[in-house]
Amino acid sequence: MKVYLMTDLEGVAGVYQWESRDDESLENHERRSRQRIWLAEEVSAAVDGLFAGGATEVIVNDGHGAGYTIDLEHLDPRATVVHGQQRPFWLPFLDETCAATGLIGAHAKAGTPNANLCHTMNSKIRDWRFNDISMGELGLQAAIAGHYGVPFTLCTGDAHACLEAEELIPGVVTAPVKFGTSRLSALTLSREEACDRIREAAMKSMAAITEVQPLRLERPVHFRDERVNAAFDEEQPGEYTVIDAHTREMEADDIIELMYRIYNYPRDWQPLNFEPAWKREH
Amino acid sequence: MRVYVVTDLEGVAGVYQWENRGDTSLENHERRCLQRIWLAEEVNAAAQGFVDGGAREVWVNDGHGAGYTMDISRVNRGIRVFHGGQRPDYCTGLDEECAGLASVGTHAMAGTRFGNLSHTMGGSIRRYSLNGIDVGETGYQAFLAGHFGVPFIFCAGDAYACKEMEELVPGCVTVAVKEGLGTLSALTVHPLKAREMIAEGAQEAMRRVGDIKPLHLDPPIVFRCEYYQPTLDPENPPPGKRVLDSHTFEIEADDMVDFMNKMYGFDPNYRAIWKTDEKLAVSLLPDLEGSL
Repeated sequence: MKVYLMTDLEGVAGVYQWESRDDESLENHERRSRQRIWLAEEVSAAVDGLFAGGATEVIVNDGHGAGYTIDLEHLDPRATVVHGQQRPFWLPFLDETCAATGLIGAHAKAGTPNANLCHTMNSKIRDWRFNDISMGELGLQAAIAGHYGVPFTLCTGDAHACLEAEELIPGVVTAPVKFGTSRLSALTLSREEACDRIREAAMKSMAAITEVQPLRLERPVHFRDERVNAAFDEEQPGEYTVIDAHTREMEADDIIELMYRIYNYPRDWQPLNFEPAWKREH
Repeated sequence: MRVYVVTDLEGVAGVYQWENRGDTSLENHERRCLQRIWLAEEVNAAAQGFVDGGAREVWVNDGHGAGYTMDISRVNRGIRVFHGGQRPDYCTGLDEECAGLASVGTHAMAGTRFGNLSHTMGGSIRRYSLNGIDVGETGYQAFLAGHFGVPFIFCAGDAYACKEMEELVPGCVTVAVKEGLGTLSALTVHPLKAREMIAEGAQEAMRRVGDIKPLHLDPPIVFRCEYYQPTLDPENPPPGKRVLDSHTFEIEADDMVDFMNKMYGFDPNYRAIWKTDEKLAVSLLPDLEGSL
């Protein structure tokens, strides 16, 4: 059973501020180094719990920022990792071959009151709605997985994100490791307890695979993109319908097609499925 | 039996971006130090596999960039390493005394769609071919080995590079420690897992060494290089090069060694010091049979 884990930094216990990749001060460098280890520890706890619960393969998507946030030296070596920039899809390898998907280090969607570091994709977005359902990154992940019939079974991070997941996906197993008190503050568990709870939740989530329904969006998918600042020009709508300077809409056959159109991903990428000749003979 | 290993950095598990030797930030410094260790440990794993499979000697060419990428303090005893710049020939020590050529940290050739960090030599080169056969860096080296009757036996790196080498050299053993998603992204196995896979594959390669044919080219050899950008002046061709158009030149040579000498201006009379003295050659052997 293959499980696909998405990861982010903002919902990791101990992190409460935005990562700055430009600040080259020693203080910031050390903070980032420690946070990369914390993320790796939380992901490792999840990987351990998933294997204990019956997973046989775990793909970890190093999803935060520049795409190289997980410190590999501190990661459970059973995981395989998607990392790097300019990827051919947001969640490559998440497809019908996966048994479940989950998210570690989750933050709440843009505009969530008192949630720590809440946002959707980037700071410019006020709200993303799909078929008039407001969804952040965890919802979008669940919907993409749902397209392939894969349930979203695990969410760890800010309690606000955990509640967001529970409202969207009944039965999802959550582990709040911090409790956002404002955009830049939180009440956090200790590092050790955070990892313990993540491990336990991950193990439980394997049992939830048969209980949790995949989140399937009705087709076609209607997408509404609202921005914090004026961003759109009614006279040059492109593929979108521009409603006003802050808002545009687009309709696509399904959520995957929508992602291709939002991000202009290359349409010819697919997993290589390379098996060395000598292994095929065995 | 001696196995000759050429290393590169781009195909090492955990590496997904170009090495930047100009960025002096602490972040970049730490990344480079870590990657140099990862490369050394993949080489150690390959060497262990070769020795477990019956090799006595493992000679390693630190082939990436500046020629000092492997962290030498992490390289196991018994391994011999060529490193440094301005070398006397393309793969010093690769000759008929080697039982096989291997490559660790391998990336795919320039233009490979979705290959991670795929390129051929410098970033300006679109295509290399030898007698009409497209080659990347590793194929290029495999043809050089073929000149000495040495087969290419093992490739560890990006799945796109492994596929490329299996197509060029039927029967060689490959270990895909990552799968490119694009120039700057990949799906990678963990560095520790990569070492296990590499050791297993390298041992298997030694089992097959007798079954793999060395690559062969009928003379004369015609090497062709294509640049992405107009680079050459057909009215003023460089010495020894046939300029076909502003993007393309060819070199014709009697064999691969002659070609390398023409291509890079190596001294054909260069003779390695251990070739001049039997005592020195013996002193290169590892202390104990089967030990690294």
